[in-house]
Amino acid sequence: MAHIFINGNRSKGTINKNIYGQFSEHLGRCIYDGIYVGPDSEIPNVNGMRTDVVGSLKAIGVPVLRWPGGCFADTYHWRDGIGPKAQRKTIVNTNWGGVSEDNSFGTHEFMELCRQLGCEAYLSGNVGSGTVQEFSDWVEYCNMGGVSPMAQQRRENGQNEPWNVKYWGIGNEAWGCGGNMRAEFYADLCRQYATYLRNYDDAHKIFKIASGANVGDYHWTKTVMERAGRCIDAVSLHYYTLPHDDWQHKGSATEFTRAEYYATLHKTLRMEELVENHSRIIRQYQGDRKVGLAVDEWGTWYDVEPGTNPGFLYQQNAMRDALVAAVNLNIFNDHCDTVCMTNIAQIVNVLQAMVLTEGPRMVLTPTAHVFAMYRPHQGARQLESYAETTLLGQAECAVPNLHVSASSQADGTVLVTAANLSDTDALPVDCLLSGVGRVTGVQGRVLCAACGAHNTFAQPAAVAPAPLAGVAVTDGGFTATLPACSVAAFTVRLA
Amino acid sequence: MSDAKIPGQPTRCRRCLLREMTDENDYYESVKRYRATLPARKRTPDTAYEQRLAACKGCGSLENGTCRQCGCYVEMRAARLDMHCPAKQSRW
Repeated sequence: MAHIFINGNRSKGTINKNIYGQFSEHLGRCIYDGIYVGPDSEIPNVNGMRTDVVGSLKAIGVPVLRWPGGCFADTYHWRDGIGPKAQRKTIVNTNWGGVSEDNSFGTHEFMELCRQLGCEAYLSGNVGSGTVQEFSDWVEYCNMGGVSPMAQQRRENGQNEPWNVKYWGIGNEAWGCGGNMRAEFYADLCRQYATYLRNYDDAHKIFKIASGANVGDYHWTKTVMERAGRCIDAVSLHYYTLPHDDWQHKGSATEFTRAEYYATLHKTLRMEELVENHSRIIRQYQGDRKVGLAVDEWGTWYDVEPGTNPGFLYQQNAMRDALVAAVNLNIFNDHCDTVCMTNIAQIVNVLQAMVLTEGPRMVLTPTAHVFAMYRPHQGARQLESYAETTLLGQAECAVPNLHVSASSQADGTVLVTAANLSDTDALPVDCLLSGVGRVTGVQGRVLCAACGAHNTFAQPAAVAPAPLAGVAVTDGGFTATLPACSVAAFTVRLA
Repeated sequence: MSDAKIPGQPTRCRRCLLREMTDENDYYESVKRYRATLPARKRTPDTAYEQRLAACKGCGSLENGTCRQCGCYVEMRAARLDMHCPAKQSRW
């Protein structure tokens, strides 16, 4: 029996709902065909957005959506994507697959998608190949409520009221595809750009996110914070989980060995070290104002599905991915004092997606189910949690058998989320809650399957959540048994 | 067969199969290997294979040898007997 301890007297604060954010890029079939099919499509849609996909994403709860990249953002010129569609420029997406990009999905269409999803927009601006003027104009186009050339153009294109876009990324991966810059150069450039990204309404102040470090590049975070920390509200971090370090042979999404399973979990657990170290640097240099950490790209990255275009980054999504999602979301919850946003890559058809599509068909992934099960954490009060664990796997890739986080909801319930990382052994747990009142009832749901199990268009519910039987209230909390390779969510009612 | 050249951009063959673009990539070699190594009972017979590819060539979802409906190289998807065209109005 493993013990889980929840301390209702200690909290790192509110779990920003944006920790459950998503990322959408003009890459492969994420935007086109995956989300946007156009108003004339035979696939049911509202203003061009697939109704099946939007409906499923609304059920998961998307608080914020990052767009248009990724690497694409630093080649994207927003004016190409506004105005009459027949007059929009067709370009080649040189970053991803060399396919043509007709710009039929631009700023207005993205804001319509956000409206349908009920989420905030996070626009990533072009610093790598754009100009300060171009970026500044985009903010004005989106947010200027009064009279100005940009506001006038927006109105001519059918949008009278400003969208008041809050989140703005100042470039993407400036150390790589966003310009191959040195940290020192980017930090100065970031200051310059930030100067001209203006607030047009005091009630809707914008939130500026600096292009951040790749994995463990602490020099980057230190330099950006030291030189530009006063101009920004958050700095980003990108970290992907690959079973193998060789980018040409990352491993399959569904066909993997036991050693690869544990190696994947071991590598994803590094997120904790990265978040802690980058957060320490941010706190050291933030001065008297709060600067957050935005992990605006994360998730698994495997070899593409056999037979698919390698530039489309289309991969399946197995129960192993559900565990990766659970572990990372637990980590982010427990670092909510610094982590203000994360954006899993990517929302549809790319990397660790929520939804996969094939023509008119759609399937939810195990990862999507985890996001749905964790949804009550959004905006809740994080509670300190601790689990007694033993180590699994090979010594160099050891992982704890149990990974947890908890939060207190506005309705007085406590949500405990727990992952059993063992691929073979069920785990009885005794969860003890203190400082929250007397436990009067517990409801458990679980997502469990073999670690390579996944949903397909032929079997869309092969991996789906179900009620967890055998959950019992005890004097101090509750007991339950977590099946092997599972993610569970317990809603605890209190007196 | 191919779209007009986009001014200032390299030529892209929007309606081409990989076998028509062998000067631009070596993926077609992978396609040939893939099809050759498929067991006969899983491999689409030659005539049906060509019919499938002809249908793909007439489809607006074909781009650079890739089907935009599923992300597959059509020459690989069509090679498997148990596969189907992913479009709502299936072409094969």
